[in-house]
Amino acid sequence: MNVTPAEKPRLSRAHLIDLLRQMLRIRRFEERCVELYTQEKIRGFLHVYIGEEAVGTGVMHGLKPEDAVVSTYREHGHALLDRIAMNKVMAEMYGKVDGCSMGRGGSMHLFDAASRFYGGNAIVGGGLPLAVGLALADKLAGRKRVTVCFFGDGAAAEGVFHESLNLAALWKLPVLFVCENNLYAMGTALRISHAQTELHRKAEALGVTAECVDGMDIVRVEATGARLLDAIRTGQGPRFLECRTYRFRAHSMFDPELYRDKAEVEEWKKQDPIPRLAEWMKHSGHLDDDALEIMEREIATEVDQAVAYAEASEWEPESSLYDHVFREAPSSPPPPPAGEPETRDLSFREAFRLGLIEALEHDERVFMMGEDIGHYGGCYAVSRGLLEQFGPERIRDTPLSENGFTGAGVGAALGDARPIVEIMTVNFSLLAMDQIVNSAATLLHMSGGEFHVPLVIRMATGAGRQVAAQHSHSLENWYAHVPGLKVLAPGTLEDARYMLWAALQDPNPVVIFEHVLLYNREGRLEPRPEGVDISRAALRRSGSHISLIAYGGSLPKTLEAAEVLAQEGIDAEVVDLRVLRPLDTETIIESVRRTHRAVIVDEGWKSGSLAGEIAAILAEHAFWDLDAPIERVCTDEIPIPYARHLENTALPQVDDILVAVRRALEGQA
Amino acid sequence: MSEFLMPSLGADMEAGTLIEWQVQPGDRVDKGQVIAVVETSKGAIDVEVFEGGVVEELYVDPDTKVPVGTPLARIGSGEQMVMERSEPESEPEPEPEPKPEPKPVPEPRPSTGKAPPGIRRTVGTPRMRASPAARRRARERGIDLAALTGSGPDGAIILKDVEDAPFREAERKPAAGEFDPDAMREAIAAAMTRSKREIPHYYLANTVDLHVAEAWLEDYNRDQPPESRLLMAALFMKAAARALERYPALNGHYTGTGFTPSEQINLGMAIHLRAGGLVAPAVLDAATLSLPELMLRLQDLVKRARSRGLRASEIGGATATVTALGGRGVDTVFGVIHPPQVAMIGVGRVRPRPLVVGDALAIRPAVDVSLAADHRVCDGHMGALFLNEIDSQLQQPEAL
Repeated sequence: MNVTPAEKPRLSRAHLIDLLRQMLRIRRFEERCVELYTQEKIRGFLHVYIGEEAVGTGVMHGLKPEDAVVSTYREHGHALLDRIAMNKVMAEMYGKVDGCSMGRGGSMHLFDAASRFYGGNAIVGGGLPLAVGLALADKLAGRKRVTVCFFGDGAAAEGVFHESLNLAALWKLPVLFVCENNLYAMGTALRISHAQTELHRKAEALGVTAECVDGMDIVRVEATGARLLDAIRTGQGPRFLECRTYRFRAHSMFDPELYRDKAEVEEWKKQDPIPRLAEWMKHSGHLDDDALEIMEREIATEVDQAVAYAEASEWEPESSLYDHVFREAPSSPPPPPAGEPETRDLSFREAFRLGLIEALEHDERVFMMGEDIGHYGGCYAVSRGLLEQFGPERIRDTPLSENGFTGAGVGAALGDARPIVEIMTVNFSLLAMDQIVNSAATLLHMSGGEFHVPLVIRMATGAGRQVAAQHSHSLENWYAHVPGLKVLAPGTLEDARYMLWAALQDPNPVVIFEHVLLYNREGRLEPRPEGVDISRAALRRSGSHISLIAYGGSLPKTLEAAEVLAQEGIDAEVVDLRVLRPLDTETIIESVRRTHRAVIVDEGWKSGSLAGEIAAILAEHAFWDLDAPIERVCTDEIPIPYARHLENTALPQVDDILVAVRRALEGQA
Repeated sequence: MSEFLMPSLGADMEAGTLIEWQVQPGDRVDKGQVIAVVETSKGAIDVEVFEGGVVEELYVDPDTKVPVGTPLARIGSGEQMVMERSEPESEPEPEPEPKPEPKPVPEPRPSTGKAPPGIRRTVGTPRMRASPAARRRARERGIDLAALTGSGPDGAIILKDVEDAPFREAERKPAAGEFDPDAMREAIAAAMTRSKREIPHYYLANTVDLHVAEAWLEDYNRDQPPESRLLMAALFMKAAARALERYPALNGHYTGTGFTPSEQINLGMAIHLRAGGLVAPAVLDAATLSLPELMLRLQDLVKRARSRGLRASEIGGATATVTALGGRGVDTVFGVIHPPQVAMIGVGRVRPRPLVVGDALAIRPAVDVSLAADHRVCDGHMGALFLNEIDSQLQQPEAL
């Protein structure tokens, strides 16, 4: 074992015994899991840590209980290392209600809030920005904690790897990135997927101090890990540790191992960290056969008990299937603390900005993060002046790395901050969709209620500014499709002003869509000391002849159409959806039950649209009340063109709404 | 938890119109409590619930016609209500709308006056273009869509067309709760056609000497105030019930799975309605009633049958029926069995007749009691024993 004299004093007999015991615990647990899999007790994907135990055991020995751990789908070992009781881990393998994620996560998604174990993340690279965000939240709150993030060699090829390391280095965040380089990304060898196979060099290129060690040598891993953790704790910023290791078993239970030679596996097994440490301890008089046998017996008993515990645990009743999709919002959230006391005229842009200022002034956990929000003043000038007022820690300009900083927002929310992430347009948000859909929306349910994500994401949406096909789309429905998200679309000044406060009081991830054409629009804002809710649709105009259903940027057009109709003696009701998920179906249905006709105005494309969803809801719940076919006014199904006349033609306009209304009213007048 | 279904109130009933709910969601109900009124071709019928619990949800609104077997309400522990309140869709609605929408019912027939009873509207006619809202309103108002001209796209009938339709008495379908003689005629036609098509009847008759019964009755009534006096009809009913007790092969229902005798004797009594038609509600558990009790029940049944206040179990529950046509001046009745029952007992006119008593002729009050019975279940031998049993019972009126 290669140990420098400075590191040697830590190698007491008790310490070595402890390291050996931890590795052996993981090994025996994983072996039992494989056996249970063959007996159909464990299902789905099962990735075991056999061969790699020295990495987790060595690194995590340097952690304090308050430090956080973010891991991958091969995380049983990390979970068992002083984080989650073996009983809870085994019950989760079984999918039982006593599992650490209540059986909703399984092998790949172990979570535990008490020990700050943040998964169990099975999107390769997906854990890295979470670690960045957790560390950022600690830094902003002045807490001295470290976040350790484990990932494999495969993650080093993901864009989010680079985005996350860049953010961590840029902001000097207390993160230890541990690359468990087992030479294969699933079945693809390192040399096939990376031109630079020295993965720590990638970290160095991104400005993160990095080292590489023999991951089969626990003493070496522990000593290096401890040194890097010390550097992080003394404020030197993130560190990167590449551990060369090997998994002795297949990638998962489905893997026939066609991609590597048996001889290669046998060669690596000679490096097996457990016998390697045990032999060395015997040789140096720290271990005898009796002690090893006793240790084995104790571990066997613990594993047996864990299996018995899992066997005896109950299945979660189906009736609680919908628990933990959303964390319940407070029934009477505090009203906006600095609402406008008097009627005033202002633009939507100012209303949005006033909402941001209110949040930043009255909740010290709130900070903003996004591209060009600080020095530039916000690409739509919504956040202009905030950098000067609140400083660069809370008005945080980010590099162009949507998945990275949105994921960091998720992590910061997990770390008890209240991040407001701004994404320039919904088109760019597709780069962050992984973190929004796979992390923010799923964590609460997947963790069996352990972790909620109080994150607010604002983004611009919609067309009308001649910025063509990559800056103009309305993809609200993509997010409104996803359970676990709340999706808002302010279309009035009061919603622009007060929805943000309500969103920040909600314990769930909230996505707010701000239509670009609204920013310059001006109007009168009445005092509203109670603020606004984010649960119901609103009637913006009552009428008896037809229901016009719209949201966001389409709302002013729809109200204008209703005015025109009123002059013709047609009394149109206008329903403003406001909340696109969960939809307030009751208000929609009630309106159509009164009017018997519906026109839905939605700037999205018709196919698979929210307009389609609402039409289906009306067909399901108000069929017998309909007196005419439902009409939809949507954007033509083309990428939004640049030329003004073409763009105008493609988008829903007041005249299009009028035509649809008249069609729906045929024979009625 | 259970679903409260549109009951079958007779073999001929295919659909019924819910007229009235007598409970609201959240009400606690006991087994046997009347919770709804249903209009059938036989008139309005009180319908009771067969299980106690809490009314959790009413699915169907008054004035809605639904097929037999359609869930009308959910009866449960009440827990389901609490659960549902947390879901936005099922919050209370401002106006009571059907939810879930009942299964579609065939459109009301245009005019039952012209078409022979029991004949369905021709299938294969092109589907009428009418909006869902127009269809529902037309159903509620009993308006025939075929008589309307649509003003919607391509001549589709829309709500306005139904609401603007002239209200013509000739086309008017009786509103819910009103008696509809045409519908009743159809119902009788359907049941009797089925009876004669499916049931191999055999007929027996016997003349019964009533001089003991009449003397006993006169004696009994002498000390009673008028409202407590017994009629001979009560004796006939009781005697028939007793006889059925002894011969269970005549008491029960014949269904697709064969004959099932009934332990309880729910004795139907055919009642002629003044507006035309007839119903045969049952005196439940008739064999256990004393004569005064039975008399009260008979009076009550007649009254309620004529005011359309019968209960579901009375309408559909008879296990055998007595039809008495003596008041119409005939001596002998040859009954038609009401399916799924297997026996119809006919009672003719009571009048003095020359009977051989001992060695001589005597003038005695007498009646012809007949039996129409289902040959699939029993033979004439048993029928004869049964009629003789009625005779014996009537010879000992004090024991009835």
